[in-house]
Amino acid sequence: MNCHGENAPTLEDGAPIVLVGNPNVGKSALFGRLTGRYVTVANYPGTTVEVARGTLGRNGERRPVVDTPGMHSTVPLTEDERVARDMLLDGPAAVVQVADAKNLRRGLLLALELAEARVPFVLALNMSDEAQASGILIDPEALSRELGVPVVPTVATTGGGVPELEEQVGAPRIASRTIGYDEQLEAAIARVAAVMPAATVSPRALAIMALSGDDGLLERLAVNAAGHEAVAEARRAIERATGAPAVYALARRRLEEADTILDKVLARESVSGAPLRDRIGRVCAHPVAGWPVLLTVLAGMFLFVGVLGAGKLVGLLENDLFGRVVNPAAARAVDAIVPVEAVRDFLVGRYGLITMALTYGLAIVMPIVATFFLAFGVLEDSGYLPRLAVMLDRAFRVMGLNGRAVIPMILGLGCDTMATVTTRTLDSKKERLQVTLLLALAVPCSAQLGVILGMISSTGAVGIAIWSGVVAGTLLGVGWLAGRVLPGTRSDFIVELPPMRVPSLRNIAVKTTARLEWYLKEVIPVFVIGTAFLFALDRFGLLGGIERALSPVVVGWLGLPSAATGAMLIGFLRRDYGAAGLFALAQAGMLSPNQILVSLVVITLFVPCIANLMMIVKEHGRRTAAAVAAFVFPFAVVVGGLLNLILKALRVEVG
Amino acid sequence: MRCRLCGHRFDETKLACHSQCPLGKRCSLICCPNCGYQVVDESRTLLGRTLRRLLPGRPRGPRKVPEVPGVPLTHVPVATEVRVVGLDGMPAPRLSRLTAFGLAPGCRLRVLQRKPVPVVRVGETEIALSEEILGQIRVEPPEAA
Repeated sequence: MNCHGENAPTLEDGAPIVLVGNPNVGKSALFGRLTGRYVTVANYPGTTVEVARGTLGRNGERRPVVDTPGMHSTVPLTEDERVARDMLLDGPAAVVQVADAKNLRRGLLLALELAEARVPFVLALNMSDEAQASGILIDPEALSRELGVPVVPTVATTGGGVPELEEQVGAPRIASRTIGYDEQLEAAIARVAAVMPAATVSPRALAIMALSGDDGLLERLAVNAAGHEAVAEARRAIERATGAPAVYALARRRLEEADTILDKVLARESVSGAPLRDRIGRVCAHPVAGWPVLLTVLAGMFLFVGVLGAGKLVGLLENDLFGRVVNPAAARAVDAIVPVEAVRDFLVGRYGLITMALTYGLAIVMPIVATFFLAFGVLEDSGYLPRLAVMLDRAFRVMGLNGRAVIPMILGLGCDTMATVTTRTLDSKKERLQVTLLLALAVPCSAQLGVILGMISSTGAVGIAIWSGVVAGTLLGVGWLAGRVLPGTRSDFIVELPPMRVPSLRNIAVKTTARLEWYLKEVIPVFVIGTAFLFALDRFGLLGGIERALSPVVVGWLGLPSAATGAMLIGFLRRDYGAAGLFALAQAGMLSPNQILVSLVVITLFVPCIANLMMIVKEHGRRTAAAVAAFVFPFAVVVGGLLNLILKALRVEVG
Repeated sequence: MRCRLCGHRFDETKLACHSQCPLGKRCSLICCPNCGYQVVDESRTLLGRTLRRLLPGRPRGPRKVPEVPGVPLTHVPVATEVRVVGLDGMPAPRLSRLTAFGLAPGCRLRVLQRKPVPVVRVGETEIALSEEILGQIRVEPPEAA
């Protein structure tokens, strides 16, 4: 590499230290240890979708550090892997590769790719305590000699080895290890390397990535048409000669090399019996025993979020705290201080800032979301979610998806907006779009779900069955239809099952609080705006007009009282807000069990909230978002109305 | 014929168990001399012969059977450790993904379960994958029991 090329590696202060590694090796936890800043850490491959930044302070100088989404190799298959790969191409000051010491073989595959790329790096052997416990002994010095880069054993959960790592980060090295391929491959690599533009990564590595089938790389490097042709020709030549894509031979050779290194640095002690966590993991994905586990997990979630969160805690906060203490006190205080009637009304009236926005946000939504985040955090860190994907793969196949789509869908039960972001971990555009649509349509978010769970008990067993039937039917039906209509292919079902572990209390506590803070920061302003909006409509007499205008739909078609229109309106702003409005109506005894059922179906299927819609715009563009909204809105109203008609025609009275 | 389990080619009419075994005349089973895998000889069953006559099928030229080494992983019983010899007919992205998990020719693996979704263990990595992919992983036939 020459030193006067335009893109020669820049080691100036601005270039960051980049953390890379396979998914689920404790990268984010180590990042937290290095920078002192918290990022979402979870035991599911692909949780760190957004890139987190922090700084590393050493001897007074502060150096930027970036955490990247987990990558399986430098050839990306998903959006978030592409993000990680791009960080490598951007010319980092140093790379810290985090590897799971228990699974050094996998870590070495990536290390060899970094060696090929000729980026300076340090290898952190994380979870070295767990490795030792399972009888895997690694000689870090020998490994360091083999690769030619510093190797540091670490334990991110306790902070072990972190000071040593910090020290080594200042002295990363370009690996001395190189891999030679057979003559034919080398010739192809040389031909392609010749057409690669100068970059911080070696042309040889770029050529290997391009041969491996990375078309996005060619776009990113702005390779010209002749270059594209050279790559395509080289790929074809290898495929003709070997009968398989080039990546096959390349990966095979790299694996050989990794195994050679492993032989020299790794010793195994026999540990008696399969570890307990393996056995538990096996049960969770078992064709028979897995179902009771799944039902137990769901029932546990329901009890914790639905009964404790939405029932007990909401009752305590809304009725007892806000209903008896806060709101009356606020009303007295406002009456005493504020002389203007309109302002008084704005603060503590029917659509008041305190009596509606804060009460809904803090007393109804917060306890539900808090319990959900807590339960979900435990599930994430335990490693159960990928096993859930295994159990539910079959159901998702009906929809033309596969088990990998389970994770965004389950996340959607937390918050559809967050879940829309995680659709990036899916391979194909079609699947991303399909899951986004189903999330917007038929997956109620935790806040909404909590309220639904709180209301649905009054519709009795029949009502619960009808509601679940309609929602499940919509999921399967629309999913199946979308699978047929949308162009594109279903991606492969290949999911890693990480070892089960007991979540760390510290991690769960920090994660839940961080998420809760994020959620409240986002939700309270929207609630305030929504309330102000309703207040204004009410004040200027427009609310009545809108209620009358929509009454053919709300009263005539859906058979609901016209007061429900307000709840539907604010449902635009946030789904949970709309649901909370219905909750309040039901508590006031203004809805019959049948009306509750119909309104629940409508609000479940109803338009995604504004945040979710914005996220769809961000991820898929304005056109798609408009199309999703244009489908979801009439669909929800039509299904709700049909349910109303059917209930009436059959004279069914639930409850 | 070609054994459907291990790919061994043999002449079923010359099998010793048909010419020398006293029950051979009435036996309608063909056993692979290499791995012992048994199949029913359709031409020796009444229904098989009738159906074959009734459903002639499309006349096909001599089909080119690609020489793929090993047996598909779908044919290997659960919990048996086998060595991978090839990944057959996979598109590049699928190859990238599997090889990044350390699943490539030369590695040893075990099928942990088949349902609801097959799970294989390569070294310390457990991977759930679809039945279709399982069938494209070719492995050395396990020792005949």
